[in-house]
This record gives sequence, C-alpha cells and structure tokens, in this order.
Amino acid sequence: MPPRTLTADEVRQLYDRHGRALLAYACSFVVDVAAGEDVLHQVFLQLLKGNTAVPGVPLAYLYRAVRNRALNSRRDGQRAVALDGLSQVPLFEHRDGKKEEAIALHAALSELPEEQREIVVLRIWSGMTLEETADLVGIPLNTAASRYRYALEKLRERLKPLGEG
Amino acid sequence: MSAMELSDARFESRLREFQPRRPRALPDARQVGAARRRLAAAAVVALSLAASAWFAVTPRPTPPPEATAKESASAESVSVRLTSFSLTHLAITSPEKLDGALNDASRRVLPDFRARDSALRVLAKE
Repeated sequence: MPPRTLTADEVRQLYDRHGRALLAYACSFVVDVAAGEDVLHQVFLQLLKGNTAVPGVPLAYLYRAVRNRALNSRRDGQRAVALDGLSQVPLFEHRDGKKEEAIALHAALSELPEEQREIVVLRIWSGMTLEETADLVGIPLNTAASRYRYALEKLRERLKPLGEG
Repeated sequence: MSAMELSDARFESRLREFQPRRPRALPDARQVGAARRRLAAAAVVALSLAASAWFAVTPRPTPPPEATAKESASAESVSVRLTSFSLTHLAITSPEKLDGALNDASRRVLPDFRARDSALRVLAKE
C-alpha cells in the first residue's frame, strides 16, 4: 500500500474508534493519563496538519507513532514526575461502574514491567494477536508469548483481593 | 482447551470488562495554529506596550539646552571638517592649510586647556 495523506475526517474517525486503546497503549510508557493524552494529541495533530504520508495500514502506523512519541517524550523528560492530581485519574472504566476495581487494575498494570505491560495492553485492549504484538514491538513471537503469560500471572495475583482470577 | 487456558480465557474476559477511558477531545489543528498566531501577536503587542511604558516612566538626565546646542554644533562642524574626503582634498589642493585645519579640529574635539575654567587650571589652583 503506497504512503498517503489521511483526510481530516479519516483522522478523526480513527481517533474516535481507536483513541481509547491508543491511550492505554501510550500510558504503557508515560507516567500518567494526562501525559498519555498529550502523546496521543501530538500524533493525531501531526496527521491533521495534512503533511504526513502514512505508509501501509493507518492503524499500524498509529501504534508505531504513539510508541515512538511516548518513548521520545519520556526520554526528553517531559512529565517525568506524576502530577499529584492528574495521576489519580484512572485509566480504566468498568462497564458496571466499579471505580475501585478500575483503579486497582490501573495500579496493578503500573506495577508490571514495561515490556510486559505493553504486551498485555495490546493483547487485551487493542485486540491484537500475539503475532501482531510481536511484530509491532519487534520481538520474537515466543518472547511476546512469555511476556504475556508473566503479565497475566502477576495481574491475576495482584487483583485477587478484588475477586479476579 | 486446558484448565490453564480456560482460566486465562476467563481472566482475559474479566479484564475486558474494563475499557480505557476516552481521551479528551482532539483540538482542531486550524484552531491550534490560529491560537499560536494570536498568542504570538499578543506577545508582540505586550512587549511593545511594556517597552513604551518603560521609556515613558524611566527618568533620563537632560543636559542643559546650551550645552546640547553647543555639543551638536561642535560635533556637526567637526564631522563636516574631519571627513576623509575634505582632508584629502585640502592636502592636495592646499597642503599649507592642512595643519591649520587639523589644529582647529583638534581644539574642538580635545579639551581646551587654555580656557579660564579648564580642569587643568582648576587643579593647578588647588
């Protein structure tokens, strides 16, 4: 598929459809939800300017762009320290409104090593296969599978008090 | 499906009951550009106002009008007389007048030691 520039409507549709999952993915790397939103906005505003040709599948490009931008943002020291008020904003919402469990899940995910958190977020909330996550992250499939397994075990352990697992 | 896989599948399904929150609305790229331009324009205006206010408020020493007139006249005459073109012209056409012109100019530029209230005379009296 040749590189092409997305229209503003396409960009906004992608944001509406995949914004939540991309935010969760950005938050795998940055310190809080506000910083994750900043990363997301930088990526999408760049596309809205209309001077970025997107190679291949736009969604795959978005995940790579969010990953790179988040890592750059962290490397450059942007929001290296969580702001007290904003860091309390939970990343997740439960469909039945269980706020405490949503906060607990966010906390449990934050405690995972980054490379495991990244895989579990892609697998669970982006709906990617392990092959797709391995391809995006640039690791062998077996590595992705083992990271995923470790992550699930740790999450299950940490969420036990809330009745998970 | 093994018991572990079944357990994993159930746990995954529990995790999917949660969904990431919706990120805040995407700002309009044009609005962002316009906002930046407005901000830059506002900064320029504010800077100009601040500079004007500073110039208006800051007191400046004002030399006496006589001195100002004398200085400007002197500087003007010296600048007229001491241009390299005029000196070269003078040196070629009438070299005998060159020394006089230079002496005259130096009296205007350098302190006058022969004046009644020159610094040297005052110091000598002390």
